Order: sequence, then C-alpha cells, then structure tokens
Amino acid sequence: MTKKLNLKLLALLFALFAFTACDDDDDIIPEEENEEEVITTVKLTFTDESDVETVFTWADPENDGSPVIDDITLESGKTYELSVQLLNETESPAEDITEEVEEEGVDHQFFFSGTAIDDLITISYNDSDEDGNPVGLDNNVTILATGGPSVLTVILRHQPDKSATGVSDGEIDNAGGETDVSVDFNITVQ
Amino acid sequence: MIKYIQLTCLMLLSGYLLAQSQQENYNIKGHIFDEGDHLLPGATVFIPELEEGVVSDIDGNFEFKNIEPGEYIIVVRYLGFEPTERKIHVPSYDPVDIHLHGEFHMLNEVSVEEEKVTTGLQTVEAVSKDELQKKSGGSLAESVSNITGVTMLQTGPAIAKPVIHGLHSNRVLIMNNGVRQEGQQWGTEHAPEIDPFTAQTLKVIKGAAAVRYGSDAVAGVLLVEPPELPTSKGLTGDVNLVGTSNGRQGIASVMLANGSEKIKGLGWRLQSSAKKAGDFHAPNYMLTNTGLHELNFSGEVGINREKWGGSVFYSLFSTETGILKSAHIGNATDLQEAIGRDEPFYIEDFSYDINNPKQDVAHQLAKVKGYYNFNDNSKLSLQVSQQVNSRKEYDIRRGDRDDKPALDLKLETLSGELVLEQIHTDRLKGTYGISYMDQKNRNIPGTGVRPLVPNYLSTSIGAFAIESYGVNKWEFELGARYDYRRLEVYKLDDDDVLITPSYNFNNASVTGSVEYLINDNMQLTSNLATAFRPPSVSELYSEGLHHGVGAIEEGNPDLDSEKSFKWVNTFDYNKNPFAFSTSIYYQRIQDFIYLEPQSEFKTLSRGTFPVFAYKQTDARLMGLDAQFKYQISQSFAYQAKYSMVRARDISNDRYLINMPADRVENGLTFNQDLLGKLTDIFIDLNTVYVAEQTRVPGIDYTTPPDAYFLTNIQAGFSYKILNLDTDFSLSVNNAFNTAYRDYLNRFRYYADDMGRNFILRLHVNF
Repeated sequence: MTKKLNLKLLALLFALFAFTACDDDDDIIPEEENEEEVITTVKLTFTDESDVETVFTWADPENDGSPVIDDITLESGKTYELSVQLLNETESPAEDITEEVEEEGVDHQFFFSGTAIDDLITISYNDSDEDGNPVGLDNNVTILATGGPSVLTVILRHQPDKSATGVSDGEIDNAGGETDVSVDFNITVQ
Repeated sequence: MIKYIQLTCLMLLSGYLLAQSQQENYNIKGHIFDEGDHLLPGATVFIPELEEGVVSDIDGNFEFKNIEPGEYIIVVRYLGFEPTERKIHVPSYDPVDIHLHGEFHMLNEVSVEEEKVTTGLQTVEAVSKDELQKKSGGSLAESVSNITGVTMLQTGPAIAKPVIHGLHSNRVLIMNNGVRQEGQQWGTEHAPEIDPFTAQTLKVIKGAAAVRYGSDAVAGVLLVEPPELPTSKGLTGDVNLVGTSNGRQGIASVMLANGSEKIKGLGWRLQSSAKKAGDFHAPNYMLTNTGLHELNFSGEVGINREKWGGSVFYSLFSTETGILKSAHIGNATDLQEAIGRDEPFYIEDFSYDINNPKQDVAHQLAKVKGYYNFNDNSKLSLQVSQQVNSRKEYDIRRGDRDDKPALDLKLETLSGELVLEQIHTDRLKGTYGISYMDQKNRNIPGTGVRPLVPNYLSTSIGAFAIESYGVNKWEFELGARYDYRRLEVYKLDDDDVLITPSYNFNNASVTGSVEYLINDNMQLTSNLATAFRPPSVSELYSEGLHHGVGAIEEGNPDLDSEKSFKWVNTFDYNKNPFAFSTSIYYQRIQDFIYLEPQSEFKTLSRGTFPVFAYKQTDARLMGLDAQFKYQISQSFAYQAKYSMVRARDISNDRYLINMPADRVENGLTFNQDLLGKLTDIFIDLNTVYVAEQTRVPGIDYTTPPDAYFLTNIQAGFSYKILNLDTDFSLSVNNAFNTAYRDYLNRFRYYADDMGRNFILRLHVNF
C-alpha cells in the first residue's frame, strides 16, 4: 500500500466517525416529568360522636419546602375518630396517595408522636392490614386533658417491621423502615 | 534513565536466583530492533517467571544463560518504546528477534505500577500482570488500591472508586485503553465502568498530568492498558476462575489472542468475563441486598507493521448491583436511627436476588486507531472513539413503580485525538497533539421523578505540546496545554419552563519535570504540574434529595473551574538487599468545589432536611507515600508500605472531609521456585492497619470509625496440567473476621465492612 492510500484510509475512518457523531440533538430538550410519588399534603379528618367533621391539613402543594399548616383544635369531653389522607397536589387533579398506602397496607404504618401524645391526647389504631396488623389510616382519639399548643407529629413508615416489639401498639422505636411522611402540627385541646 | 535503574534492579534480582535444577540447561540468544530494523543497545530483556533480566549490548544482542527447558514469556522494555512481550520455547535454535514500537510515554510523571511482590520495589515499570493475576476478581478500584497512596471510596462491598492522594470521582481521570473514561463519574456511588480483566497493566500517575490527558487529572491519572495485539501466528490465551466464600461469588474470565501467518502484522484478541455474587456478609450479620451480576466483553483486531498500523477495539461492561437495603432511608432522623443501631435494620438470609435499591449500568466503548511512521523520527497517530454510558438506578417505591428507574441517564461521548511524536535529536523529543470531545447527556423520560442532573451538550477542544530532553544523568520535560470547553445545559425550572444556560471554560496548564540519576542505586524525580477541572453539571445544577444521606444538595450555577498546582518529589533507592521508594507531595487547589452545610433546614412532607450547597474554597493537600522492601534471604522478603495525607480547607481554616486516614501495611513473603512437581510456591502474610481519621471538619453526621487492623493470607503454586501452566492460590482476607468500619466507606453509617473471605483462584495461561 502506498503512503497516500494509508493516509486516505485514516482520513476516511475519521470522516466516518465524524459523520456518525453529527446525529441530531433534538432529544436534548427535556420532557416534563411528573413527580409521581410526592406527598405534598397530609389531611387529618377528626369526626366527633355527632359525626361532625373537622379537617386540618399540612400542605406544601409546590413541594418546595413552604408548607401551610393548620393548627389543630379539639374539644375536651369528646372522643374523635381520626382518618388520615395523603395527596399529591403537584398533579392536577390532585392524586390521592391514600389508596396506594391502603393497597400496600402490609408495607405501611402511621405513627403518632410529639409532646401532645400521652399529655393531651392518645391515639389508637382502628384499622388493620391483610395480616391483621394496624396501618393507621383510621384511628380513635381520646382526650386526656386541656392545654396546648403542643406538637403532634404524624409519621408514615414504608416497610417497617410490624412484628417488632411495641410496633403494632404504635411505638416507633423498633419499627425501622424508611420514612415517607413526617409532619408536625400544633394542637390545642380546649 | 529508567533503563539504568532497571538494569540495576534486574541484576540484583538475578543475583538471587541460583539454578537449582540438575537437568541440562540452555542459553537464549536474540536481538532487539527498533521499527526501522536498527539494532537497539541498552534495552532491558526480562523473564518475569525467572525474575531474570539482561540488557542488550552495543550491537543489540542479548543472551540468557543456563535456562531450564520450557516456555517463557520475555518482556522487552526500552525508553520511548512500548513494552513488548514474546513467548519463547527453550531450547530454541533460532535467535529470538524482537522489534519494538515507538511509544514516547511521558517520562517524568511519577508513575508507580503494580508489580509482582517478589520482584522488588521499583517505582519504575515492572511486570504487573502477575500481581493483577494474584488479586484477580476484584473491582478496578480494588486492583489499584495495592499501590501506596491509592485507596478506595466504597459504597458497600460491591461499589468502589479509586482515590489518589485523597481525591476521587471527577478529580481522578481514568484512561481506559487510551480513551478518557466518560461515565457519570460525579457520583460518589458510581464505580468506574471497567473490567480489570481487560487490563494487562494498571498504572497510576500521581502527578497532576493534565498536560497530556486534559481536564480532570487533578489528583492523577489511572491508566488501564490492555495487552498488545499479537503480530505473529500462535494462539495464546488466559483463563481465570475465582470463587469467594463471602458473597458465594463466582467469577470467570477468558482471553484468546492470535496472529496471522498470511497477513503480516495482523492480530486479534477476544476477552470476556462474568461475575455473580449474592449478599456479602459482615462478621456478625448479612449485608442484605449487596449482590451483583456482571458481564463483560471486549475484542480487538488490528495490524501492526513497521511503517503503519491500526486497530478496531470494542468493549462492553454491564453490571447490576444491589445497594444495602438498610442504607435506603427517608430522612435525617432515619439516618440518626441507623447510626444508633448496633446492626443494620434489614438482615435477611443469604440470597442471590438483587432487589431495589439497585443500579443497572452498561458502558460501551468503540475505538478506531491508526498510526503512520513518516520516517524513523516521526510518528503520527489518530484515535477516534465513541462511548455510550447508560445508568439506571432503581429505588424502593410505592405502587407498581419498582420496575421504573428513579434515575435513567444516557451519556454519549465522541472523542478524537491526533498526536505527532517527533525525535528531533538523540536527546530531544517532542509530542504534540490536538484533542476533541463531544458529549451529550440525557435523562430518559418516564422515571416519575424530577431529574437530579439536567440534560446537557458539551464540546471540548484541546491542544498540547511536550518536549523532553535528556543529557547524561539528567532528564527534563516541559509541556503546555490549552483547553476550551463549552457546556450547554437544558433544564426545566421549577415551573417547567425550559432554561438553557451555557458556559465557556478556558484553561491553560503547564508541567515541568526533572529526573536525576544520583548514582546506580539512587534516583530523584521532581514534577511540577498544574491541572484544572471545570465544574460538573451536577455541581452546577443538581437539586433535590440525596437518599443515601438524607440531605438536600443544591447546585451552584456560578461555579468556576478548579485550578490545581501539584508538586511531587520521588526518591528511589535500590541496592541489594534493600529497596526504598518515597513520594512527597504538595498540592494547592484554588476554587476547590465542595458541599457546605447550610444553616437553614428545608421542611418537606418527608421531614426536615439539612441543606448542603456547592461552594468553592482554597484547599491544600500534603502527603507522603513510602515503600520499603528487604530481601531477608533467598526465600523470605519483608515489605512495608505507609501512606498519609493532610488536607486543609484554607479559606474556612478547617480540615477537608472524607480524606483517607493514615495507613500502614506490612508483608512477609515466602517463595520457593520448586517443590516436587510444584513450581512458584509462595506464601504471603499481609497486615493492614488503618488509623482513626481524627482530622475532620466536624460537619459529618457522626464521628469517624475507630482504627482497625486486618490480616490477609495468601498461598499458591503452579502445576502443569495437560502441559499447561496452571496457577492455584487460596487467600483468606480479614482472616480473624474483625468487625470494622472504614471512614471512606459511605455505608459506615449503616453496617460493618465485609467479614472473613476465602478466595480460591485458578489461572491457566497458554
């Protein structure tokens, strides 16, 4: 082979690669990605004996760390049922995450903690998953005393160990798992 | 100059060797030529198996005397030429004639290679295949971490990145087969996508070698070099089988190579490896979901002739790696809980299953290269390569989203390099080059998660020139380089409106080195070099939650390039029976990019998160690596290694986070050439002490783990099966099953490191 031919071959190889490189870059424009698993809103519905519902929400609809939080007020002398609802408001209409939690009840459990627990109120589970363990979407609230404001923390754990000591009674210490929700409310009992 | 040292070393080594055999032995004779058929005096010719070396005389002749019959690999090295291997038969009645091809490697960068423990302590080039073989089956980072001053940054047992002199990720440039490795290197949990079985040698350049290799070579460069293609007929091959008790891991690797009789200089090589591991375990519990699957392939075909040559190379690396399930946390409270636990939360029975969280990574490289020698003194080479890196990360998710990656990135890189090597005079040589790189990074839609890093296009152009000059006992090198990079970011802002910020980075770098041969036993090398690194797109624009540490990391669009200045001084001493080598370095990095904890916290529905923002500061790193070897007797050798690094954030007057702790290794090796039908018998006893890292900035989630001490033992021998040399070895790593955590393992918060591990290796070479 002659020298010239060799150089031509090199040039050809280079041109071939340069050509394949020049594909169009239209796909560089990113597509909108809907945040599918975000929980922006925690809705607590307290229902008293006379079926009167009061709703308090923790809402960060933009999911940017600027939540608007309702202060919870309960009345002493009453008992309440507490149901928890989770929403993703980055989507329109808002997606109800509660259903997913319910479907995967064995993998989820709510815990209620904060200074209000055992001081102003106690919360006990009123539902169960397929294995008979609590999930915490429906609960009973007992008023212990008037006072406040105190803090009520609502925590949702993903894949906790529900059979660990105390977990099915609502004690979080041995639950493990991964925190999906952890929000604080101020609560006052009048 | 290196060759004198080598000559000294080789002569010393050959002194250890006394022929033990009673049978009739033979002499091997041959000649060394350059590409133009000129005889080369002063080339070192080495038989690794025998640890015997000679130097070609003034007429290019060499001769080994009194060699036992058999098959040997001989290795020829000569300054400025590529090391060349040849298989020979003894007795042989034809002279062994070997042609060397020009290489023009950078003399003065401080290059320390892996070496066979028994061949002494050269910091100059040595045969490293043996040591790779001895430790085969590990990750790339594990394979290079034997080099003093090189450590690992781990994310559990299966993911490891090399750390050179305290720096890693985007600050360590990896040259895989002559091509800049372009993966998602910004992530500390993203291991290099390279199969160590493709490598013949692994080299680490500890200086800031930006002039030759371009951006990112701030800490140094890791060179992964495959074997040369054969140029003559004769099937050669390599089979490795490795089994480990920890993780119940099986590894297999096969390599085949051959040349052609009909077409001069034509050769090919095919290689493939596979790995399968289940859950690894710590001394006291399983590390649930830490298994991995890996499948790799590479092939090359090419022609190498004196006047011209070229080759086509392709490689595929693919891995699926589990992430310790207990390390998947929701927020900082979960992390605090994990730190407080004695054992990880999820401990299940051993399984080969890999569940979420996991990584699924594939990396392809295609390369075409060619060279042309205009005459004896100038060589032009061109290389063009394409890389496609795909990274999918799967999270534990709600609903039916487990099969949907939470991160899905595709990075395509086209690069090219044109290099002219020119010998001006016997003493003055030059290397000149231009390089080009075009890159596209895309988030594949459909993850249901806002992208952690945005899409981008990037184009880089660079030009460099290096001159080296050698006279008597001195060797000098000077180099300069200029780089331009354009970065165009395509990102949706918080309101899903497209923004397209763009950046232009201009950087100049220079290097200067001097090497002085004090006498036949001592050598001094000093290298001063600057390097730079434009900020990565993750540092500019990352946003969101880092699940591993329950923190929010915020990019900083105003970052500028890091600029580094590194001074490395190396002293080598080699005189029977002692060998000593030490490197002392000083590095200043202006605009060092790091994560600074912010005073405000962010309240999301998942909890309250600490916020870290990318900032720039001035950093200073100083350190020392030292190795010592003492050949106690013909059979026993002692070896010690020490490395330390001190790193300060000067602007904030505190230590830098995540720096390797001081490390001491001691080793005792027993060698016996022959025992009955067994050959190359060895027993290695090795201890590693890693101190507690006390020099920390105090911005971590917990204090660094305690110091630890590990003992590793390996024993092996060679045995002929069906006339094939077969090496067997058995190792026990962490022999006393010590429970420990390492400061540079990101999972130190969650679990202990790996417990005792028995490793059985079998290697056949033909």
